[in-house]
Amino acid sequence: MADGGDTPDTLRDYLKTEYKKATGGTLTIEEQGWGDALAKLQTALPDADNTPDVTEIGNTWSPTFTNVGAFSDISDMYDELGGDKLLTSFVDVGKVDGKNYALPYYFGSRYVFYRKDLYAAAGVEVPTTLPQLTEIAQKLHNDSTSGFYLGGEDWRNGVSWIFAYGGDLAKQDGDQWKSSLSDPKSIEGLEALQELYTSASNAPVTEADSTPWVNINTQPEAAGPEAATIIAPGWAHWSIGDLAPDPKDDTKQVATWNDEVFGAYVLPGVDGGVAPVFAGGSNIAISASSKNQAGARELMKIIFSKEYQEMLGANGLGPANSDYVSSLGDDQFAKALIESALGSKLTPAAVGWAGVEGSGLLEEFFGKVNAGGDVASLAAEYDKKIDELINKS
Amino acid sequence: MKRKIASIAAATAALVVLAGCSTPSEAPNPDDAKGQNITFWLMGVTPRTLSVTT
Amino acid sequence: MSAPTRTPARARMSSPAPGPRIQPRRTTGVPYVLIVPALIALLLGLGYPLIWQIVTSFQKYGLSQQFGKPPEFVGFDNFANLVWDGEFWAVLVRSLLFCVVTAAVTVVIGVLMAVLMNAVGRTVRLILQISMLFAWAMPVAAATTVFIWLFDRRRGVVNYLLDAIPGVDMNRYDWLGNPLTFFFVASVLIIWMSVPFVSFAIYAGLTQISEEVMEAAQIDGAGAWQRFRRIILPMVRPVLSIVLLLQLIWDLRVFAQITLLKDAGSKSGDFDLLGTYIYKLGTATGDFGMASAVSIVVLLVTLAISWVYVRELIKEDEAQ
Repeated sequence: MADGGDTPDTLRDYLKTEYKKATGGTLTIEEQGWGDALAKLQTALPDADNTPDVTEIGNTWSPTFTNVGAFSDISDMYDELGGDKLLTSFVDVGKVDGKNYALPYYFGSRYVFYRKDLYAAAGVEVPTTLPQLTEIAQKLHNDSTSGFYLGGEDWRNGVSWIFAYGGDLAKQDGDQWKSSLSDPKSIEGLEALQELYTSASNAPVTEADSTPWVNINTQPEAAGPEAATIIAPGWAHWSIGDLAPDPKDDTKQVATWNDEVFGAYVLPGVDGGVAPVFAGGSNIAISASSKNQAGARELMKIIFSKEYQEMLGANGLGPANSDYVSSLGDDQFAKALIESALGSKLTPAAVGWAGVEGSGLLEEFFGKVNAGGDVASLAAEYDKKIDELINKS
Repeated sequence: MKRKIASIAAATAALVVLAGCSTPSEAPNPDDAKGQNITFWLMGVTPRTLSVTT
Repeated sequence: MSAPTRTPARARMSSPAPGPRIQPRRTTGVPYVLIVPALIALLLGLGYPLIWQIVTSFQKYGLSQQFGKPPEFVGFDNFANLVWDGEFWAVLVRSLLFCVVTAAVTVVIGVLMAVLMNAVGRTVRLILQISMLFAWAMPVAAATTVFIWLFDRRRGVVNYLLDAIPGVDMNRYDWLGNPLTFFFVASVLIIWMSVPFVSFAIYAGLTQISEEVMEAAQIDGAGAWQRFRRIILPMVRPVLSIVLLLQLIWDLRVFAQITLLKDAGSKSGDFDLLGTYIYKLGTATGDFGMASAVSIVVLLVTLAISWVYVRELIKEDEAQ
């Protein structure tokens, strides 16, 4: 699953207008929630009467759906849509036997947001290595404010620690994948994560993909924020800042970014540099059962056009085509996004990966690690459970 | 009266069966994009509408 | 149930009509024709999914099959896998416990509410009935959301009130954080939603008890408890047993409340009941064969529970 940040209205209108111009037909855009998207795709895609003609799909689900034959072969359009300029790692998860089925739609990434005021008060600096991050988080930590707010089951953020220590979720052996949580490097990373979580986060062990940005804002009538540091998808910066009633609707609050109070940095690596984070973003593909293949291909051309790619960038979504990445701008968010995205990693391109995500095993495993369990024995246990699903389609 | 009810019931039954069997008829030419109405599924929520408070 | 039960049932159908006798020759094909639409709807609506499920439970049916690859017949493999799956047994036992406890508490509270409604004056009864109707009419999603707020770790009123008791530290207590308190919250929610149905049904039964009987018992010196135990309970027993049966079945296949609570809490399998477990197996991980096998097991468990009751009901029928 990818970061939920998504196509704003102006972009949708653009697609509809351009599609009408190109074909005279109507483009209907339907929004699916990430939560039940997997279930909906499974049932709708095989059914010619109900399938979307074109669909966005979480990059980590692409291998599963591509392998079972859910999408049309679009290798003949590959060069026209951007070819080698398209984000390679995303192109690869949408490929089977050298043929392209799903292509990158946009990329996102995760980086760290922090409270400058709390850092200054505690006399700590922005960390440059991962162990340093744990150290300063412990200094900032107390019962009402987490030094680093991170949910126990939040594997999409927690996995960065495995990556940072050189480990991985799974390794490929021939055409089979094997879960590699027990790899010594993965264990090292998990132990570092466990230390950070148990000593510097007040988040419940059962919290997974949540809305961490609400914790770094100072809530109305609260003495201070719940967190001094969080890690979140890049677009979360729209929701971080000083809170004030929305002028249009005073039952709601809007956040205005304040450079005095808030800052951002990329997650540092173990020995400095940048830690690889989970690559957010999504792919896009044409449903194989669609009766409107030609129309769907027209839409693909519009999506991969220079204009649309630059519109994505202007809205903070990483364009699939590297020629247009500059459209993200050069403010601090764009810089952090690009810097963290360059080193980011995808989940294993295994056929059964969507099943592994759907099973909730990763949440369960990270939750048990962060609850203080024995990392090595838990890793062995969950390697076995994940192995049962990872090669299954 | 009964015959009338019976015939209505039979007609309803026939309709139900027919509805189950019928398929949408005209299929547009899949190779020509002209006039094709298509559906595009997008995922997720727009970030700017996300809540900022707990 | 075959031979002895059929006779009274048939006898009842034909005998109690003292009015004009129905002429056999008048029964034309009309009733059969009339039943056809209902039958078709029933077959399509219920029969098809059931048959699909039974067939699939004997197949290796994953996402590839969903996308058109022919499924492979594997006999009882899926069921054999279940027998050796520790998680399945844990979920099954957990679900049965949850359903028995929740249904029992629901019925007990429901009966007490019914007795209360019977005892109080009209105005109070009306207030009780209206408030219970509201609870009953509340959509599951809305009710669950409200409960999630009530038990919220940081801002929930439950923690706030408990914490206000001197010597109790419930500040930020995470109710959804461990299975025991999670299922406690789920149980309270489901009881809250199902008590109205139980108490209305029992109350209807109570109004059928004649006042003369109660008065006679009172004159004979029966106390309140004795009257309840010896007269009221036996008289509402048929209603009571059917209501308990329904509650057991509903609570066994509870799904929406658990899913929503899990969304607010943990994704871990320790918080699954049969409903969410099947969903996870089938829709989330794409193993429709195994999911169907578990569904069949649930169906059998439900039939087994119902069987006991149906037999009981039939016996009572005969006794009358």
